Amino acid sequence: MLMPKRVKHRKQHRGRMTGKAYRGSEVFYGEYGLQALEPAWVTDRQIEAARVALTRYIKRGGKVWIKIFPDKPVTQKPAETRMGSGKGNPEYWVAVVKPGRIMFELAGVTEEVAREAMRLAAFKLPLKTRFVKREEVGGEADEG
Amino acid sequence: MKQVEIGAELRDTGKGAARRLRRAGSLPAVLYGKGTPSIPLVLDAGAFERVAARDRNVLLRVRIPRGDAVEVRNAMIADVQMDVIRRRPIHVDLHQVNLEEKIRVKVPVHILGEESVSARGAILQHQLREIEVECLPTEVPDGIRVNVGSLGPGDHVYVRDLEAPEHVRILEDGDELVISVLAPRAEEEPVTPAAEEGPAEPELVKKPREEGEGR
Repeated sequence: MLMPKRVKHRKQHRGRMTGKAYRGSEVFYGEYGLQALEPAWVTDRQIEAARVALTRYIKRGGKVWIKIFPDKPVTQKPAETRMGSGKGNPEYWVAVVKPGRIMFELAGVTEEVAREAMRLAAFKLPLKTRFVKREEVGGEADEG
Repeated sequence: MKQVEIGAELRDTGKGAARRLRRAGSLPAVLYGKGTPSIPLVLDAGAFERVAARDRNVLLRVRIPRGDAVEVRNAMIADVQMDVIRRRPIHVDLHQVNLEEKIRVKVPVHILGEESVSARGAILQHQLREIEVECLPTEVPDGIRVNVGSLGPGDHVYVRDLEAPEHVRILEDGDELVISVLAPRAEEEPVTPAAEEGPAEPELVKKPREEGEGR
């Protein structure tokens, strides 16, 4: 699973997810992208599941870029523990995704293949998404 | 190069005024240039999208009403701010140009023969999609053409391999990579983590503590 190699602090505050993503909101490397339409924490497992769905569908050929990275630790207290005694242990990692963020990019495949691959990947993610093409004014919404 | 006339009105500045204009289907813009004060303008959003939909390098003749007269200024689109969700422009910067003076502008790279590369199973990876060139505003090319029909996996196209149209000078470094052709990679089978990697934690970046610090 994806996670940072080194960190400054083991635990983080939860924070807020207000506003839109201004960075990483354009299809930059590939031809097609999967854009987030709402804010969410995307876990390392969800990113990996979406990557597997993408690469399985496009088989040979095509190139995939993952443009989000889970760099935020999420802690949990063990089950049946009384409240108090400090913050829980880091359990998994999440990427904080804001609306507008292009999470995955694809190149080297036809548009139909890219659409279907992104649709399958979107099922693995906890947020509404949209398939986008490079430099497209207007855009179209599909899948949920 | 495409030359298009576009109507504009003067506008009030401020975010409240700009939001009202956007709600009414208009597009706030600003026109600036060498030796002239900047002018806040408003354009018709639909008209602008039609003009800039295909090509951003358009020479605009902006008609600005000044009392009973109309002033015409030549300008190019310098920047377009987009709404990342609706994917519509929310503000435009217009850069006034002198038709006699050379300008620096980015033009797209047009790929020819892409089908023959993909037919061989290779993938084109774009490293530079736009090339900065210097030319007169009336001679801005639609793009720089690159023929990749004869390229195979492992081949590259550098800026020095590009042919600039007449009266156009390429400003990018000759050693910059424009396109590389990659061999297709076999499907990566997901590696099932051996017995759930467990609570592997990243290493902590620790600052060396100075003597007597804290406490």
